[in-house]
Amino acid sequence: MDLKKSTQFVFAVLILNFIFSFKADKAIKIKYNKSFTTAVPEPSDACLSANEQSLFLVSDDGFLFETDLEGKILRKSNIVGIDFEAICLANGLLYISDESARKIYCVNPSDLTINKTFNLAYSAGRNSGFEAIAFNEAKKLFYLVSEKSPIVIRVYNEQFQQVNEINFDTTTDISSAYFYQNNLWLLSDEEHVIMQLDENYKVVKQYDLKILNPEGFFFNKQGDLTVISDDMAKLYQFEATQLK
Amino acid sequence: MKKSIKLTFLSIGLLAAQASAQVTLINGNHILEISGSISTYYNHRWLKPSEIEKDKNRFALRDAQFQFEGRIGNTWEYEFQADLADFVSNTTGQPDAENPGLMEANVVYKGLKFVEIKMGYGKLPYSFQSLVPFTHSPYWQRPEITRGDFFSRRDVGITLSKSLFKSKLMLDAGAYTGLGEKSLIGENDASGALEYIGRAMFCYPARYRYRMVDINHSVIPLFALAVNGRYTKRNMPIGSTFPPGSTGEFGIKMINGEKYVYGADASFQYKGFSAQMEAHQIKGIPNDTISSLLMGTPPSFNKGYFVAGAFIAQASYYVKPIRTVFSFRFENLNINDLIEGYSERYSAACAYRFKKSNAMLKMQYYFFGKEEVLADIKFKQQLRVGYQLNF
Repeated sequence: MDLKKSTQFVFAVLILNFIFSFKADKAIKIKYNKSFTTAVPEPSDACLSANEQSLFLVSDDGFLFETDLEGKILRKSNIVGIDFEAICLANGLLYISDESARKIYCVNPSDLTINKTFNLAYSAGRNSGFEAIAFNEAKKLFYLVSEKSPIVIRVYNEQFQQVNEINFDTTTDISSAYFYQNNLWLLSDEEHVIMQLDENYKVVKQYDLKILNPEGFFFNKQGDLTVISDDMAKLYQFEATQLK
Repeated sequence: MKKSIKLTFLSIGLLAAQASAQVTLINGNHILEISGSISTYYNHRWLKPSEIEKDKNRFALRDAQFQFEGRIGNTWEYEFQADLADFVSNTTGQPDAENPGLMEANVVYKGLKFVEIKMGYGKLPYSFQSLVPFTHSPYWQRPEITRGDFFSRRDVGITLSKSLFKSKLMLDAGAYTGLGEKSLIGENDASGALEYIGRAMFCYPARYRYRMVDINHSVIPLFALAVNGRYTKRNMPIGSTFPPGSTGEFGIKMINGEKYVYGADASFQYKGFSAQMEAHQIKGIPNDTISSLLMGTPPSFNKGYFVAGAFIAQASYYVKPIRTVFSFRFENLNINDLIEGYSERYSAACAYRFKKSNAMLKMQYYFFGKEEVLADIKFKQQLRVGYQLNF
């Protein structure tokens, strides 16, 4: 073993990495124009209320909050879960994924109480369960996406009966999902990218975010994007024009 | 040697499985995760000319671990982790501090909002290098001072933990038997004393996890700075001795007298680059003024105490397109300041992360720049290459 040769090898690898980095970088870089700090501890996902005047945020320690559009807490639900990782609004109700417990809570947004609970079996690691939930309004279908090892997109009807399952190995992890303009969009925390998928679950576009630990996202009616950072406890807003 | 390395790589190729991760079982509010890991390697040492025993040139099974991690509602968490490879190799009843067999067996009570209480056996809140899980390290061996011969890495006791400012400040404090991995024999030593440990870690601008490598290529620079300390005072009754093997290779791990250990560590990561620096100082004040730890020096010279210490600097880079970590480490170790000299060790590590599985091909090479007489090192260099799979 020659130290000089080892050093030369390391430098060669670093140069190759530099070359590869240009090839591999297909994502469009986007920059946020506003950010807000929220008092919600470890926020993991958010969705807009039906009138888009407030947000519903869930946290890693199993709490649900309603906040204003800048993340200021307006009220807190009495629901105590274990590890809330995803939330979406569907048919006027909130659907929350408790990742560790493998439960989906259907919550009434007016009084923030549980309407119904669904148990979904999924035997992967405790923190590799359903990290993302999205609702296709037109087809009345829910998309639940596991975090990693492996990434699986499961499609359910409104009674949470499984209708399809897709293995998705384009990225290392998934932290959030949203259905927007007839496309499923996915967020990867480890890769810091948002991906737009076509109907065959192939990535058609991806956007590179310079955000630490992005755990959730949603679009408003104008197409503006909001991304939630768990570690920074912040909401980052991106203008729709960047995503055209 | 070349044939052995080729054989290792061939075995690794055959073993490369597309493994899925852990398994989770749920019963009401009780969630149980079952996981494990296997690691195996080939080790080669280049001996000094006077040495003839090549018993360290071998294939070895390092880990055959299983782990149960559970939680019951939001109140209780528990962890049980054991290594079958260590149970078999430790048939002498002398657990290896770095690979003790039983690794975790503890319960955490989270019912009090202001503090978490952990009781049982497990890793001690001291030293960043010690707290990083082995499966997240590109190295096969931890720095010498954190391998369990200078201070224990695991023990039985109670730990109070508190996280503040969105986990930017993490505080741990606890009391333990002080016997370390030997605590599993069930009794304290004849002094009946305890060891007290505290650690405070400040992170900025967000929480910092116990990881050596920036696998996620952090988009903003992350920093962590920690201080930690431990103290014990043991007065052994005349004629009594410590349990066999509990004082470590250099007789420093437990001493009949007062022992202070201070340490500080700093960590940084950004865009795949990460670095850690860590320093430790051990001050031992033996009760016996003619203790062998004072190296036969007169009281006018030793002032009744000895000092040991170490400095560790490590830098790593994760090359994402080829899923490979490159890491370099420098260690400076002084086993006892009463004897002149210190040792320096330089390590290089390379780890390839297999796609679609939680598996790594790891290689670590090191050599000594300087050697200390007390260390009694029989080889010049070591190469270890092997494979680890977490499931």
